[in-house]
Amino acid sequence: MHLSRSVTKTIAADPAHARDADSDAVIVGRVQAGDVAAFDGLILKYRERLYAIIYNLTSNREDAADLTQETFIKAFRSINRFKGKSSFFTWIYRIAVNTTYTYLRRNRLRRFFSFDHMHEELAPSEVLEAITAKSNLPREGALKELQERLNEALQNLSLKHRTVVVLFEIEGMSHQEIAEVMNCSVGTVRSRLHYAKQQLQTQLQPYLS
Amino acid sequence: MQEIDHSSSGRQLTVEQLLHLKRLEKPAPEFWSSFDRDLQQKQLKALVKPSLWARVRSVLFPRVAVWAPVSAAAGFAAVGFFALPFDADIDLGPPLAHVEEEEAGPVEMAAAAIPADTPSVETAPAVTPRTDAKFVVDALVPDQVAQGGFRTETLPQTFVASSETSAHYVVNAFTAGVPDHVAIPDAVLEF
Repeated sequence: MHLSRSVTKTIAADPAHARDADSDAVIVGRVQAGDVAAFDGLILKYRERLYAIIYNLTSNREDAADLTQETFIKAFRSINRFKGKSSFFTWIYRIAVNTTYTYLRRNRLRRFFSFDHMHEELAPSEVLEAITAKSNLPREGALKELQERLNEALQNLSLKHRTVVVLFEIEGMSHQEIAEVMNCSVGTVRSRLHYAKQQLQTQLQPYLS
Repeated sequence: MQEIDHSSSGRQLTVEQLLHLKRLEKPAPEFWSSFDRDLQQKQLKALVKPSLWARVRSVLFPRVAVWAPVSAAAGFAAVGFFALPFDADIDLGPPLAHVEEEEAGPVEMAAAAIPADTPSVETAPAVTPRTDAKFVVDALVPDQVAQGGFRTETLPQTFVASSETSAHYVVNAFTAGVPDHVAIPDAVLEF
């Protein structure tokens, strides 16, 4: 996918992004020059983010771990083909998303949930209170129930709609970054996000009213 | 003073707030130790295991050296065929000289120089007599510089082949403390 100039300029204009991209470029250069141990730095930097994306796409922590590892192996194997036309972050996110898509398409019928622990102590108190108030269960039970309903609602979305929701709402990426990863226009990202939220609104109605 | 309504009907959540709760789903810290370990093992396996294309190629083209000139020739022929106009008189040049293959002769071994009184065992005569050949013996000697290592050293002993047509195959033996190679004509291996 060829990155458009306008997207490049936008990403490069953010100083934090630019610094990040520069440090990645240095490490990638070292790996391409033969310093394979330098790739470990990229693994440490991106493993949690990639895991989170894949976990939220699959709702299965074991699959997420395997697919995250597979993503790094694919990236390592093809590092010499990375020409720097996009940022390394975009490139590896794209590999992660495509790897997950391939896996989910092959295993459409054999899907089950396996959740990570939800750290409720980090949740805003007003949200926790609202959830507990709407449920007949104690807080822990109410959160578990919500976790199941939330993951079910996400899995009921199509892959592409689920991806935009995960990347925007959960990972906090911009529309432009998502467009780069998904190889589509910013307008497509916005329309998919709008539709996905409408679907989620319907499915999560008991918690919203 | 208006009482603050703490009833649940007053608390409205948004889809975004619920989705943000997904950020709180994280694996335990010890998860990453086993993750790194598994990833390292998979990386090593990936390094050893050939790529899919390499495996396909090894099945379809087990002897690349045999196929390469054939495919190259086919490629050149195809290019030539399409490059030339169909109605042109094609001059392919003089025919290639017929190349005859030579049959490989039997393996020749030069005879070792053995004392005249040593009984020799007759073997099949060599097809072509050798006139002269020298075999220089290599040996592994301890390397004084690299402790525990060995280096090859060319020893001055040589076996000079005779001009006789018969061939004698002699087994060499290395005996402890004897730097020379000792020929044992009795232990002759017949081929």
